[in-house]
Amino acid sequence: MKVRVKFFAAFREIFGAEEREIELKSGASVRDLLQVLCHRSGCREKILDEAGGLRRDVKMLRKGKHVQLVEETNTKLEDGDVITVFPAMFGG
Amino acid sequence: MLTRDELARYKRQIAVFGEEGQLKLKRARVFLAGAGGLGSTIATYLAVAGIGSLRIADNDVVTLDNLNRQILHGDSDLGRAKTESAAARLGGLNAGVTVEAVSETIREDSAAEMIAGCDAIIDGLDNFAARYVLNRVALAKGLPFFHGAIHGFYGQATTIIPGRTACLRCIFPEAPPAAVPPVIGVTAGVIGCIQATEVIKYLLGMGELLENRLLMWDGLGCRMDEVPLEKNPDCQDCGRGGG
Repeated sequence: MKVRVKFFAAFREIFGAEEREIELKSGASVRDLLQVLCHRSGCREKILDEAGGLRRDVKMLRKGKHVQLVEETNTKLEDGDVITVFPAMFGG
Repeated sequence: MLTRDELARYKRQIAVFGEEGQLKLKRARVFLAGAGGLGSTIATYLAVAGIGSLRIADNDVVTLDNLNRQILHGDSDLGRAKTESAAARLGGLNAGVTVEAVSETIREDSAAEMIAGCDAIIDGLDNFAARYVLNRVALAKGLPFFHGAIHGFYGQATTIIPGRTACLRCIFPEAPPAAVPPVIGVTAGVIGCIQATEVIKYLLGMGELLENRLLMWDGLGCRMDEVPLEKNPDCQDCGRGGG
């Protein structure tokens, strides 16, 4: 199956793209997608924490809902899913 | 009723939304959390638009490293309470606007009282702990919450309407790690103006609000994008996750 990953703000620079189409095995999870993304981009430390979870300063949404909590990274993806990745911003 | 001076002062915007619209702004009282980068832009544009009353909460004093972006304050305000400096500056811009200065920290046990009597809550904060407090007050009181945040040349904004949209906790269930973000003033200007625009539209009942959409500003690429949002049924603030 194929999913589309859209990058925003600093992640466009990090990944060198606005968007990528990623091919995954059927039944793959958000966690699997993260592994593929990090492997391909060589920027694992900018996405994942030491435990392999999503860093708290990285935000990830699937169909408008967050998939960033540890348990949510087990969410199964579907063919055609669009995932957005953007940095947590908190300055004012 | 609008006075003769008000009719003259707001002539160019009355042409946009009529005297009735201007009266809506005049009768409004909004709560602005933070008189920093975002807060400076938001307060400035709401004041010159003729918002009747601005209640501004900030417990900081003006320091030199604020002045690259916090346009309510200047060199002569160093060491002064930000709310005091803000009230003086806004009074100079438009004496017809009432500015209520609240030099206190936003806390869970006092926030509801702090916001009492306001029609809207605006986020000019620099941390998620206080944002979550305001999110809960907005939900409890059914008030709109206008979120904005910035980092370097990047910024984001969304308009949260209780019952209709994802709340702040739906979008950001966990606060990012505490840090001092890099910020350039122009980004606070862009995002603050978007927030002020949303507040004015909400009060007037005009246009389409930034509901269930997270607007992302990329100042380096000079681009705006939108991320669609949905309510999280398990949200701990607005969903069943709250127990």
